[in-house]
Amino acid sequence: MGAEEAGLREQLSQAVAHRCALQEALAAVEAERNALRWEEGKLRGEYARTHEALVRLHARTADLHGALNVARAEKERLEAALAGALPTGTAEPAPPRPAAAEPEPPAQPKLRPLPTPPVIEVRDLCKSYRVPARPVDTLKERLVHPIRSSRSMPLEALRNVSFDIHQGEFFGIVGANGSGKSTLLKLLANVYAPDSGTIRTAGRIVPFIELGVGLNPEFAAYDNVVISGVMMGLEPEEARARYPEIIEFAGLQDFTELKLKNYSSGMRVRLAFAVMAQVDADILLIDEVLAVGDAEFREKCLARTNQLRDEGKTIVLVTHSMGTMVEECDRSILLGGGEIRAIGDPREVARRYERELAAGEGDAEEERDEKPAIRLVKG
Amino acid sequence: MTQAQAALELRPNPGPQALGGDLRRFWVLVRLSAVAQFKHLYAGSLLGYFWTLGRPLAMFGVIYVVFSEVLGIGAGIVNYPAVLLLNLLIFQFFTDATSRALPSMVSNESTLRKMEFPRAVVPGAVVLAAVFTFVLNLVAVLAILLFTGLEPRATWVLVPLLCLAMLIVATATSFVLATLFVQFRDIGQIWMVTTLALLYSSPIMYPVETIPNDFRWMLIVNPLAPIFELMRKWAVDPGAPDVAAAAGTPWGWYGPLLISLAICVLAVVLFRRKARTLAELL
Repeated sequence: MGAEEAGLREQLSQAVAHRCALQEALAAVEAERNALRWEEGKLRGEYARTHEALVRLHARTADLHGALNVARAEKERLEAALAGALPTGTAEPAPPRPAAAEPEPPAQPKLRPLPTPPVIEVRDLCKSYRVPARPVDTLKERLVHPIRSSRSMPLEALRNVSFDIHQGEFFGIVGANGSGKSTLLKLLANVYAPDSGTIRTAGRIVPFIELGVGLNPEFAAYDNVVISGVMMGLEPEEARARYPEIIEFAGLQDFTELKLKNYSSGMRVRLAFAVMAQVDADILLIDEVLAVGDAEFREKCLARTNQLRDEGKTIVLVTHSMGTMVEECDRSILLGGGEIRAIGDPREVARRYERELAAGEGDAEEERDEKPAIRLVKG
Repeated sequence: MTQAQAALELRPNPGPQALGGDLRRFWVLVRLSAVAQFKHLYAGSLLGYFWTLGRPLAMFGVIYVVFSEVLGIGAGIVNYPAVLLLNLLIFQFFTDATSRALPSMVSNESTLRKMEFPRAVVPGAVVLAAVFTFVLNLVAVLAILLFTGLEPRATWVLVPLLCLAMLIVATATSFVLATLFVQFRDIGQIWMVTTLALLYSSPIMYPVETIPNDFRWMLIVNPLAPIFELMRKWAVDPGAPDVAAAAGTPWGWYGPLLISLAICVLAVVLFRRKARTLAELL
């Protein structure tokens, strides 16, 4: 009897302790909920303010456009008046200046309406790789271990990633190794297929992934330029016509007879970048080109990239260099563990990345000079 | 302006495709890379393009001496050298296409993992490059045969059908092998042995008449057998036995046709299914 009572008492005290724990947990959850609500309110406020600012910017842009048109009309009127006021048919022997030598009208400032329409739209993108617990590479292994071989564990590379990239943006993607950058780029480039979620794109996309555009080491530069040009959407004749320009940009005029396997890695990257920059893409996906090559070529790449951006192309740049990102990008995302950790102003994103690095999250290491592309899964 | 607006219409990324919907682009890419491969194949060696023809001729020389002079097999056959040369040539096309297509996906890894293009371009270009070699060789061999006294016949117009049949079987086999090799690397070893077995079990070096009755089934399970038999009958010797007569049963026709059809279906199904994920499996 006594033993039974002791047992029951023990159970009771356990139950009470359990209840206490549950209550504590509940309190914690409620606190968290309140914190989240507060956060939500803050974000809503911020959203409203940003929206307002955007609307104001729109209005301002429209005003400026209007003012510009008025100024142009005024200028034309004045020029016409000037032409009329000038004496014609004078006996002076000086020949009239040819029309081409007249001062050119000032270059039209590039006023992009804000915001431009999206050209890349990513929604709820998920991608995971099946990583076999044991690599099965031969038939025998599959036959000998038919059950074991089918076992594999998924490795989530991207989880519910959503964002938009607008036309003409210089968009940065940063993140530690293994954060899903390369996977995201390959999905955007149509080389991998997503598990779920959608990617919609507008216009011709040209990828530059893992330091190359898929050149064949056995072929000479000419065949490689023509084939990869056609792969990127050129007609064969266009690709052939642009070959001299491409070789010149890459600075490889003296090496056109060599097969690509005899090129140095720097020469290969230069050729790849030159092809990519010459194919009239609407969207350029660039992975780490700035991490290799000498300073001169890096400058050339950046200059060309900026020129393309000024022509209204959209640039997506994956980089480890916070300096480049802050300097060049209009907007950035920070990837970590397959999710978007931060999106928006590059300075904010860089700060967040450095904070995460300091906290040692994701074992991230900055390695701007080493080979940047790592694969999540090997073969 | 309308162009810019049209370009801004968002379209879903389809992911990697087998043919990519744009057949013209597919064909242009296949042609360009086949030409580049063909140039590359023989560019590095001293004799250049002459190797294209030299290889089958050298093989023919060895086999002819061994089979005809040493073993005395060609004795009763009308124009044995012509039969041997033509059949070796068409068999060489098959091994060229399949054995080069086999590792093609793996060796083009960098392109497949970086660029969006129809995945069928890779094995397709290998097969087309083998077609170039075959056509060049056929012209040269035909000249040699006419020079050595082979009589042109009306049935020669049917020979392109044989080449077409060979092209279809070789293409389908190439696609199957290239796809399987990505995941099963020992297909390479298996295929080496298989081509050797095909060479010796097909009526290439010996006439069908010499096959013992117990082994006639070999003609039924070999999708290439009718091609070699008909090549002999149509190109050289109208008196040679028909496919059905050679196998001793109408299955001499049905067997190879069914197997070829099965390979084609397998190629289409397998390649379409794997095209999306090939780049990830590499």
